[in-house]
Amino acid sequence: MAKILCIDDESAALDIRKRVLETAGHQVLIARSGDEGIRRFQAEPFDLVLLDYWMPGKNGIATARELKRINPSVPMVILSGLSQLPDETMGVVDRWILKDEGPQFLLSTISTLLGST
Amino acid sequence: MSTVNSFGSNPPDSLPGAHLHDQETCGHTVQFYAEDHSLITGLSRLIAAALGTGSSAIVIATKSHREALVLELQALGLDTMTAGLQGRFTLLDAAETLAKFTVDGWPDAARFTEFIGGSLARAKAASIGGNSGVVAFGEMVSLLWTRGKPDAAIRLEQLWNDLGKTHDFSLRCAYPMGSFPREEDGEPFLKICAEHSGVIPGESYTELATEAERLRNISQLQQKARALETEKAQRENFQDCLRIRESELADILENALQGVQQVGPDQTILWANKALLKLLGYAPQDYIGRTLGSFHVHQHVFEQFWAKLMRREDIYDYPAELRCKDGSVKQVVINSNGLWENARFVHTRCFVRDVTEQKRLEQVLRGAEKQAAMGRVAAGIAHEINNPLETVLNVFYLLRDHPSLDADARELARVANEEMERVRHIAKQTLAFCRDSESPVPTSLRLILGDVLEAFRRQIQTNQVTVERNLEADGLVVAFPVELRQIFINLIANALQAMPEGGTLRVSLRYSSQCSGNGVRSGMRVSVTDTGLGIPAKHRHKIFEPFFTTKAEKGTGLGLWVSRGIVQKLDGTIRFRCAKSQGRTLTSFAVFIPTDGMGFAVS
Repeated sequence: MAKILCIDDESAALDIRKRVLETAGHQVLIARSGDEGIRRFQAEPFDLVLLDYWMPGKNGIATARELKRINPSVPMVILSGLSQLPDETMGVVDRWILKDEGPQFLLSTISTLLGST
Repeated sequence: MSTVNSFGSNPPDSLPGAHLHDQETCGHTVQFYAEDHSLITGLSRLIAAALGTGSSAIVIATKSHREALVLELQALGLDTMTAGLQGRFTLLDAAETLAKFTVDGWPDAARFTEFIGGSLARAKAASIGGNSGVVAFGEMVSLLWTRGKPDAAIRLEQLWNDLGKTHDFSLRCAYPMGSFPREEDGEPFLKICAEHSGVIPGESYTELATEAERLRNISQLQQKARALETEKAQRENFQDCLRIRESELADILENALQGVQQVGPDQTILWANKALLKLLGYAPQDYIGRTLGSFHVHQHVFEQFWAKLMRREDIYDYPAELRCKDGSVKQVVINSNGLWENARFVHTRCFVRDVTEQKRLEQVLRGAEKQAAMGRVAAGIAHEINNPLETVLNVFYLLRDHPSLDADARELARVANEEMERVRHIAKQTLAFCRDSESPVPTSLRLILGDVLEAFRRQIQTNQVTVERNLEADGLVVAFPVELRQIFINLIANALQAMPEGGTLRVSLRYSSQCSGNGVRSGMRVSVTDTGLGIPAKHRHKIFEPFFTTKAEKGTGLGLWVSRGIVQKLDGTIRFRCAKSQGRTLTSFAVFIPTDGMGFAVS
């Protein structure tokens, strides 16, 4: 199973999402801001990063852009409550997923991405 | 015609112009005059001279001329009463005499000879003395001329000449110079002169006393003639310029790209140019001559327009709707004012501009602005709903198999999760109508279809469905990507749900065209075909209705309704058909999205 870095400023959502990912057998580490996520990413290797788009300070795309600079081979997935993200999103991350897609879709997307790397 | 020599005794030299009036007292002379007074003066001298020498005189003249002549003769001391009783002085009315020998307005030779010849013979017989004769004065020719019968006048002159061959008399005719005011009178004027042996010019010439004065007068007349010729040439040139200008102005109005019309005081259309007739689709005979109000869709609008015109207002950009020949309606704006002569309204100057397309675009723009505003609101709602929704869905997902729950609690959690799924689905479908981007963008249907198929990969595998892709084109269309995605998510989800035991899902994308009321439109066609359960005939007419579903609690009944709404917004069509083929039921949905007028070439 994979080691996943999960970044979100909303604690409750982040904790629950962590547990969902763990049900699929993944090891999940969390960060509560973009900057914290970058520090963790620099400190240890991850197989995949899952970021919320809407965060104070560095948003999901800005954070992902820096993470890709550090290690472009790690798949990045953005989660968003918005049905449309800026055009640049797909140039930075590998997937963006609407939050209303549900946990199965999230797990299935992560599984696909991990399978292709 | 014989000469009546005895008529030739000259009047007193003191009378101005006497030499000219009396130089030709024989033959057939014609006198032109400007004033009646001049005619009567000359004529009285002629008649006085004749009667004074024993000759007879016949005067065929108008009543006023006869009366003036008698007074003048009496003033000269002549006893006209006695001369009349002697049969030497005969006064006849010109019109009555003319009537005696004309047939249908044309002088009859036989009747003329009989009546006038008889009168001359009687006058001749009444004359006194061996050298006496007959002097005649007639203005029947002048009468015919003023009646607009110059040929008849000339004919009568000829009859007089013919009569002169058999009767002994001298004759004077007279025409007012005012009878020849036009240039085209010149030729018949010369013809009249040619029928006479002598011509007496108007009094402006004959009243001059000396030869030197007359020569000066001729020179002056020649100068005037020259000046008139020059002026005439200038006027003709000016008229040519006017005609050209008039023709240019007529061309501007007739061939203007904007509609122009004139409407009379009774609201009848007097004239309309080509642009207006083309705009409304009428032939001239179907439009001109009818009342303007009958073409207005809204009578109160027309009545207000007309009331403004009648108040002499200048009307700018007056909005109205006009009915076309084919029954359609054109939205126009009218600029108009009236031509008034004193207090009388003559006609409108009415300019009509078609704004149908402009109005349509304004409406589209208003709709787009409304949609953009809705989109911004929806984006906010989506964000606010989706964040807690994700957490709740995740919580139920975790509760499903949570070891701390007993079987009853887990069942309750499962039901709650299913209901939450329904909430998620309904929110997703409903918000698909609204967008969070400002405007549509060129979007590749091939990429969208690829993404959607990828999203369903797990279900495709689970259902053991074989996918046949035939995406032959990029399929660029201008649209909102999230909306396109929504259409194909719905169609493919339906297809997969119809094949729980496996089957074939065929997705194709190709260039296509479609006939519509406005001709052939080109665009892209996406077909999603499955080999599943099919749609029962009894449900086929309802599948696009909102909240219609055959999936019981698993469906919201919004998928196809939402899809059709999105396709219609793109001015496209969505159709389906069910068919049996080789023992299988094929259900196919075809979405056509036009690419006409999208501002880029689809390649």
